[in-house]
Amino acid sequence: MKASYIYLTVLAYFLLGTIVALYAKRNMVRDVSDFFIANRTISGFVAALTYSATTYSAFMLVGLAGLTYIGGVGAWGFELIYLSGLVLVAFFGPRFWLAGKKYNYITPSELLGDRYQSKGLQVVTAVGSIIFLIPYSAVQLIGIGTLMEGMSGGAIPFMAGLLIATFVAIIWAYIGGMRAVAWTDSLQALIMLIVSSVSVLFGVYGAFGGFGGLFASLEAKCPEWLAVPGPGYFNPATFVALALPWFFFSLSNPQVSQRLFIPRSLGAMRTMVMGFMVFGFIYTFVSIVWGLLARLLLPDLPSGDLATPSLLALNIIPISISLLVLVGITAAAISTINSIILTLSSMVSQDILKAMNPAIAESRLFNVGRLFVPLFAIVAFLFASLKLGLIAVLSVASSAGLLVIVPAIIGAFFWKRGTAAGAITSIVIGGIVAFWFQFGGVKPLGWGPGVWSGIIATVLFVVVSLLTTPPREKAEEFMTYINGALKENNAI
Amino acid sequence: MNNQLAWWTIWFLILVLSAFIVPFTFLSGVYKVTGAFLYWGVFAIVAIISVGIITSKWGNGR
Repeated sequence: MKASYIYLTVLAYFLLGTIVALYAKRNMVRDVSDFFIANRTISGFVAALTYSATTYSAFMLVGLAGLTYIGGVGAWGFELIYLSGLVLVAFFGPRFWLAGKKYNYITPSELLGDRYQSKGLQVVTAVGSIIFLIPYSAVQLIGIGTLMEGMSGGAIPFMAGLLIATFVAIIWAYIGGMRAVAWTDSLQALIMLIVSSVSVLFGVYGAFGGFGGLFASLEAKCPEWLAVPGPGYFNPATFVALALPWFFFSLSNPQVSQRLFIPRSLGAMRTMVMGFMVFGFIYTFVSIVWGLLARLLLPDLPSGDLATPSLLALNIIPISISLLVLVGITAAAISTINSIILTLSSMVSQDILKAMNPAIAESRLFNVGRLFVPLFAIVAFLFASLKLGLIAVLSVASSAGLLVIVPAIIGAFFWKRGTAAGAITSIVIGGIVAFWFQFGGVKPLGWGPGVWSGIIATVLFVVVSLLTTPPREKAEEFMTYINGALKENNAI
Repeated sequence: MNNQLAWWTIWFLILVLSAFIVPFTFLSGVYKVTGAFLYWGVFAIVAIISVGIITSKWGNGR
């Protein structure tokens, strides 16, 4: 594909997004709450789309399609188990939202720090998130660089793709904070869903005459891909190690749990949850069908990661649609990266600067927090350009590494006996275990890091909490308020 | 934990455990679209409907 086509399409996407970001910015107030969580005023529709675009990254159409290519429908299963994990938002969403409104929390770590009465916990949670999420963002950037380089036949160098992606990720978030990110995310979510669905329909109808033909071909030519373990990749241990941390994604990842603060009402949060689940179901289906198409049409690829680029290069999908898919994948990556860097910047502002110096001026918090948007993006760019093996390890370990925060979150709302010491110990040691097991390939009893980090964090949280003194007064006041407000709002 | 929350927790435990167990046991030898593929699809739709029911009464809360 000609590089000029790609440059022009990406330019059009950038200009459209910038117009949307500037429009979204018109109501922005220069304070921390507005910049990072849009002053809790986001409508249900926009909240659903920003939640979707933030959650679903380039992993879906590239990684998940690749996993389907090598392992079959097990990929469908673990991704849908993740989707079912949104029940956690049905349980915890109103709790986060009510607590956020009452105590003016801007980050999830602020909630934990206040509930357990510990600035140390707040700082530890923020630092842990930065350690695992910057490499995750870097991997998204690498994905865009690789895709542009591959689709242009090398005419767009890897570094040019990286620079473009970093620039776009910075601009919108820097212009208008959460308002701009939420609105551009909405645009990008629609692009992601529409272009991926259209391209899959082209593939399915062009090559097989429809879904009936596709499924009949699968049953005839590669039936193992329709069962688990099937071709072998999705054995029970691998499946559990993938699915378990993902089930808790909506609580463990701060860039999505922070979105529980942004809806303007609980009614808007309901629209957010339901809209996201429908979006997720369709987008997952499309990504899986993409991988199955590649399996049937290109059975001899050396690796699953090549499934999507190779399929796009086939002549069954028109070049214009392939270009749009490239934009769709870029949009998926950018919308995840800029949400992450905005969340991490809010953590620097609220969880590190303000926690260490409560007297700090609001304007200073705003300025420093905003400055960290480009800084974090540049760090992710530098990591991506180095292509260090360590980055990939940290990125893969991120789901297991962030899972360790979940016991403390559950305890905050349901266990008065939980303590800051228990939370800090579980997060620090659980995080180290996640990294160590991932880096060293350690798999006791055959289970992966995502299982062990969760178990170890839970045990440590409970045991250390029982051995230390809880903040009784705060726990009582916090939980009494939340339980009363839940009743008033008909939430369970 | 209130009663409703307890019941929904149990329901989701059963539902999600079934998504781990059923495809790897009863359906592991079914090499058809109507096997694990359909099971997980139905599982997800049931989960979406369940979340819809849980959230249906949420008040405005402004």
